[in-house]
Amino acid sequence: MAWFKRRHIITTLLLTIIVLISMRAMEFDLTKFRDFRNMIEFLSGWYPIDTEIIPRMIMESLDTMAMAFLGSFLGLVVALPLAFVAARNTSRSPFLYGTFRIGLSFLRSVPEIVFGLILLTALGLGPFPAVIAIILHNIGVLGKLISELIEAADIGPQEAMKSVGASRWIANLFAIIPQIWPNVLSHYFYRFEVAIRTSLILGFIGGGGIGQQLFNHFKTFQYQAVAVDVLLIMIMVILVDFAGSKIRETVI
Amino acid sequence: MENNAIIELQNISVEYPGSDHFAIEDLSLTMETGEFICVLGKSGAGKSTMIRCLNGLQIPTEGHVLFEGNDITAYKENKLREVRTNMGMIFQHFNLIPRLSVMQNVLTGTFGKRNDVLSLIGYFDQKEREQARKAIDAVELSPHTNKRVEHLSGGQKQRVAIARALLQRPKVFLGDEPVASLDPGTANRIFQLLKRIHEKHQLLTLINVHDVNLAKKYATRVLALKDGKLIFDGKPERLTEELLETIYE
Repeated sequence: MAWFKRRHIITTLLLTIIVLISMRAMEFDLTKFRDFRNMIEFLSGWYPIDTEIIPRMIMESLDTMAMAFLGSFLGLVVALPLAFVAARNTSRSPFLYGTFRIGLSFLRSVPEIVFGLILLTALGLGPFPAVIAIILHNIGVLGKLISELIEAADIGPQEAMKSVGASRWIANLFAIIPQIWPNVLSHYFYRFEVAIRTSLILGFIGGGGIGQQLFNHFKTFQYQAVAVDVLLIMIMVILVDFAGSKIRETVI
Repeated sequence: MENNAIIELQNISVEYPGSDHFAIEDLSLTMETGEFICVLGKSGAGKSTMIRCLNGLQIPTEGHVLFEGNDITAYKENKLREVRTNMGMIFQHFNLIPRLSVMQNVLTGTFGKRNDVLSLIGYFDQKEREQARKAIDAVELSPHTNKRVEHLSGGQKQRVAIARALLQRPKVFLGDEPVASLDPGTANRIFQLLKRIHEKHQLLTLINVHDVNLAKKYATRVLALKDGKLIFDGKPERLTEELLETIYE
């Protein structure tokens, strides 16, 4: 029992109780899988896939890709400078630090779909409000992640830049960005991947792209088209993941 | 004598917030151009704090620091930056900018004296590049000019840092334990280089060092700190065994 203290046992007990309560609330019951055959029947309706629509769906996928890229990239462009204000060690004053931290938390706490629904009222249906929604949320997420990278950056180069007499912002830029860059990129590519999935959801509320097609095909029972959509989405996510790791490799 | 003083400390004390004792207590010193000063003392004796007071990285809680006769303790950030451009500083952990080449790192030594936007886009004129090449040559790293600094050895990294400091065309050269992470042979070669630069450019050089032998070999003047107080100030020949024992006990 060398590794286990009483509080570990208590923690285990507590966790078990919480899991059981959550299961009860969620009607979590594995015996329900006895109707598994329904699912197989349903999925067999997806085959053969509807090859005719592939070219058109590829175009829709590219729309989704553009939406996710623009949303996450512009999010990064805005988040990067904001992160310096929202990091304890580079912020000009505790007031600015606090304000920007809270601002980023706010952006992060509003899900994209809520931003999307609100923006719909002003901007109408289409991909534009979806892109804005992704940008806003990503400013919040990337701003926080990058500001934490900045806070954890080695102070040495910053001191060196100070001691050559460099101005504050040049010192921060040169001492910190090269240190955090690989991690910024991996956060960014992860957010890009997440943005693809988000843009699918935003497609359900009229944001366009493959998400909207998927939603429509489902609603109209065109399962052979649904299969095409799902395949394309999987390919997209894998491609972004692959490109991301390649780019990171060359950067490191 | 007063006229040659380039740096003067007048009764400086430093107390870090939340600490119950002084890191530096009532220290007064005059330093002149041409002196090669080594500062001895245990870890935590206040060596780092003292050196950081000289270029305004640390502002003393009490007392005044004079550079060329001007009290820098009251200076605002912009004036302090100007003072710092006159003082090259090297560090124990080299503090180079990762992912940049030797050349690029050395060029950052000019950042105190030039337009920020030009620095940002990486524009350096012919003269600045030539100076950087000369500095790299002076520290014998020419074959590595375009290598990334991560790929260099410890001694080579410190040489890059020295070249960066040289590009400031400093009047004062500060070293905060610059050889503490290097093997004895490399440490000795770094000191040789520092001495050569010191003599060539007529500097005030001030180096914190653990190794008493290096201090004895290279310094023209030795300071010893203990618990934030100056307990020795004199020629290295006057360092006795008893004194060394007191310093490090």
